[in-house]
Amino acid sequence: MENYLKIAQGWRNFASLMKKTGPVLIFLFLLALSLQAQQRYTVSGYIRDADSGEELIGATVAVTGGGGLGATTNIYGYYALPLPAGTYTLRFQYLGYQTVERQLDLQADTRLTVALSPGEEQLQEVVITEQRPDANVTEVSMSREKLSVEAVRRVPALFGEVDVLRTIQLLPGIQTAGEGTTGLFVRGGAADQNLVLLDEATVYNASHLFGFFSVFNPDAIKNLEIYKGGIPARFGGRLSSILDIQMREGNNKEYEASGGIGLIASRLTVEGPIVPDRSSFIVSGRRTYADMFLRLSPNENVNNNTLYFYDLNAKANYILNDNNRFYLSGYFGRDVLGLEDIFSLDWGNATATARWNHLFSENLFLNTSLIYSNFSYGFEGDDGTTGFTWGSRMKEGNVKLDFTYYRNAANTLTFGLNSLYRHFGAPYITFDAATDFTVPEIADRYALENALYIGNEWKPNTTFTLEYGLRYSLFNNLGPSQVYTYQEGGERSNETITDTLYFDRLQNIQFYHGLEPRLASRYMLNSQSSLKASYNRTRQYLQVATNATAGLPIERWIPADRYIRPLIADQIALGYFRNLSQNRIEASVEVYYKWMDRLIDFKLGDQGNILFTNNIEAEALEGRGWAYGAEFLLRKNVGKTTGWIGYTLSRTMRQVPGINEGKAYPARYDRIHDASVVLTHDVSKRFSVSGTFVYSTGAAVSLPVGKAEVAGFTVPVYDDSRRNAFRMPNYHRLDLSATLKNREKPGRWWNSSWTFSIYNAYARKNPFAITFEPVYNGDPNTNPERDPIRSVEAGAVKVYLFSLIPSVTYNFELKPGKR
Amino acid sequence: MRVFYLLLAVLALVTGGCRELVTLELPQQEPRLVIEAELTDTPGPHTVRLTLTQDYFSKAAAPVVEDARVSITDDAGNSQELLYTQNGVYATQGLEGVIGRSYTLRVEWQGQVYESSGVLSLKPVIDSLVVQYFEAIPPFLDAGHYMLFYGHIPRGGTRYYRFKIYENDSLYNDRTDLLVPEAEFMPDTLREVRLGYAFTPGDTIRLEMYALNRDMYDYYYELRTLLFNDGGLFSPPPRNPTSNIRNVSDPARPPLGYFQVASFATDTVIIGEETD
Repeated sequence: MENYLKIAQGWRNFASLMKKTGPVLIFLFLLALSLQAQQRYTVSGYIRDADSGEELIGATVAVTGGGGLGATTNIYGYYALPLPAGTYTLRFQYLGYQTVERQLDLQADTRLTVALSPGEEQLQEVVITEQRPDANVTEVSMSREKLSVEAVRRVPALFGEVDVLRTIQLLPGIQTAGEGTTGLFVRGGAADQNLVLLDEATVYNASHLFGFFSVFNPDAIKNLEIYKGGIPARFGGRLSSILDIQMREGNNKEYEASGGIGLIASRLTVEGPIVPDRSSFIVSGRRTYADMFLRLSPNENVNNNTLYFYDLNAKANYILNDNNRFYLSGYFGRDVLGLEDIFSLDWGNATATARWNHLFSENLFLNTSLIYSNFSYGFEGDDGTTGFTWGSRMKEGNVKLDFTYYRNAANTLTFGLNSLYRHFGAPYITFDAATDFTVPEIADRYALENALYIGNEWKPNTTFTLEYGLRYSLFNNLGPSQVYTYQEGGERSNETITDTLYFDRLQNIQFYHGLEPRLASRYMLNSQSSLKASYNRTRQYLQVATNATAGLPIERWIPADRYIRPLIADQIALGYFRNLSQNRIEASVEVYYKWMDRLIDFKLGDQGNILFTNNIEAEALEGRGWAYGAEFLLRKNVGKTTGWIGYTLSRTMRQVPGINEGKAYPARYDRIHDASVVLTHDVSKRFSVSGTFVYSTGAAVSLPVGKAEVAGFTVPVYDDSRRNAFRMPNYHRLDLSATLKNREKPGRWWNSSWTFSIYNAYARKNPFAITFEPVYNGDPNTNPERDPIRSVEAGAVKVYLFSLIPSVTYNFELKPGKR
Repeated sequence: MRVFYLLLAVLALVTGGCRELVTLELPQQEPRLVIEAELTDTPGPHTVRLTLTQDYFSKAAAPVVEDARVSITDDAGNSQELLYTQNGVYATQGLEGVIGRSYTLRVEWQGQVYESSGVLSLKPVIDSLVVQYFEAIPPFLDAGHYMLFYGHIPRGGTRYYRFKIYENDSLYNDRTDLLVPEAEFMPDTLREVRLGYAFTPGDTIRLEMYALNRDMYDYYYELRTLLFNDGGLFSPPPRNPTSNIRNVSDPARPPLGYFQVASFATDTVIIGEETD
């Protein structure tokens, strides 16, 4: 306890210090703008894939012999590099592509768009002569992981379904709630503290089939990046992480089709030019057929059911001219589950994004986005007496303006604003026929969230880089709504309500605002190693009302309001980055400490009380959390053998007055040790093998300290001051896969491959959950209602989901243009 | 909520997952006092059972407490010490439960004093029980004779109830039989409420409807949440239901269990012919 008080005191001092950083940051911005440059011109343009015309994100352009002068393309493939007048040799690079060099006599602003060819065959030769990109060491960013979809595809997949979220969970600092769940727990943050963006649109529930798969069809995805810390000022709205996913644009030169047939799902993608070199489209779909297996079951309780999900991604873009480009993209996906005609449940997300890239000049880039996203679910049930419908919908509209100002080689400014309106549809229940049951009417909630930000990346010299930014977020909980007032000083409950206040449409109920300073710096120790440090504050104005760990599709999002305050987190991180073996191997160590304030938990702990209530504040308890850890990563991106080894040592704690007798306790997803090994080896041009091994400390759980006889039940008894004080068995698993491609022939216009994979290769029965319940006849599968009962005793039952699961997937690509 | 356990079962079937017994090294705790006290609107005898907790995997019956002093007092000046009978049970003699009165339980054991109070609420009314045959709707409903319940709550009655169903005098008492309807959904009049049990002709079915105090309703609600706990992944972390009995001597060490003060209505029906 004393220890904790010290931590709390330290935290307060730190927080007040950080409040003072605001003016300092503003001074730095003014400094950045006042630096008067000599005669400079800007070379700018796009870096693209020569075959498909797709923009390459994060490709680099460097001035050879320029002492580290260079630029990186943004998520639209645009780069700008202001330089003094002169003659330069520019080198354009992207991993897996052939490097291109261009001579340039810069005497005016110059547009230089470069197409790089995929260069897998040349890779071996290039390795000897060419420096690998050393971005890992030289970039200012830390606590950030990029994954190419190609890398994701090579990881062995459950049921053969390539899954980006499951692959991300293999990186250090990112945990899962349990096998079979795709919820992310980043550096001690809860699953609702991640902002998941698909072409900038929020995806509220990124899981299919209760979390076995994520909603991201790998065929439609180009790039993904997760920020665990050091979050730039342009992102905000969630405490713990930003998962930024971009969809592909589609080939703007030739028509192509690709797809796959798997054990449980099939995929098909069609893409091509609308106007060659100016405009392209991509449409990608995926559908599972798990219910086909249900049909095979002889059990008629099973074979009459439907259970499937589908995803549809579509995107089109149009290059109007050098300065204007438009994008339209959308996603629609749903899960459908039906038990005969009696019961059906479906849920899913829909998103739409319209974007306009505009260049005011070579140095000033603007992206404007209009975004809509929604998540909804609906139940329908009819048990023979009264049918009912139960549903809910969450909607979000968003306008964003993001400017990038390439001021000079030493300063790149980003600034912009963001205005977001949310409609939190409350769960409703309606009955088909008249019924005596009174259904509580739960009111919808409304909120407006605005943010302004400015950030600068300052590179005064080649050894030091500082990225600093400030985000100012403002939040209004709006009407129409009703708000209860409670007796002063007492506990909030239905019995202590004193009054009800009514608010009109768009009337302000509660206002919150605050600054979110962001800092990141890098210091080069030598050409192969660097030290990095970052600090960021984040605020979050909505959360999922739940006290369970894993999410269900019926989860309820609630805004901050008069009683529920917004969440605040502060994180500091330090890192040492070193590249080995001529940049072929990247190594890093990061340590972090994160404070999370105003976390909520719930009193009674029944979801019903949380879903169907208008005064959730009567159930909520406010507390805090903290997390700290060290993350080690060794990664090899080039060569015949690629992959990574990651290890995380960490703790995640919570403290909520009224829970666990007020003492600190570990979060369920607290994992002391978490290690993963992901390796892929190209045996030949046609044949590759890969393997994944994961090991982690068991989940933190509460175990019974005894049992009691109460009300005719034998009930496990818990120690209410030792929440999550015990551990499930340690988790480990090995997955393997092998891919065989077709033979290469000149002029062949199609490619295909077979992937065979085994999930959980040594069939470990990793517990998904352990329950304490009466066991009849010594067999946990006895049904006491059907089977004769000979004995009953208190038992512990392990539930495991997956044994060894083999699968096979056939993938193909059709390129008629190559014929 | 329970629908999700069914869905999880379907998923486990798809994935080839399974349930099996495990033996775990479980933490130990000193035995704690468990109080099960009930008082109804009848002349009694009303009973209080005192037992102790024991190791989770113990094969023995719960140890009983025989040397406690137990008394019940009402707000009309009646007080009575309960006599020990057997099997941990203490019983009243002629203390009558009267609707509207408040009752206080006091237990003294090993230097600790435990207390709880409750009010006997207005009785609910069972208007009739009707038996009707339903065809099967798998997997939700088996074919059989079902009981339809008609009843109402008197003006000024509570919203907190528990139903108990007895088949030939034996109580249905699995975790699914803890019938405590959501207070928010509780109407004033209940018509044609089908109870989820398929009976066979010849069964004698008794229904009891208890009018609970709020704290007792919460207790049952939390008890049911605990009995359905999945280990804390989709359900909240398991915890003991909040007892409505406090330890007066040492408030930091509350007992387990409850003091239920509840009036009840009851009716019996014999399954055989269809009634209208």
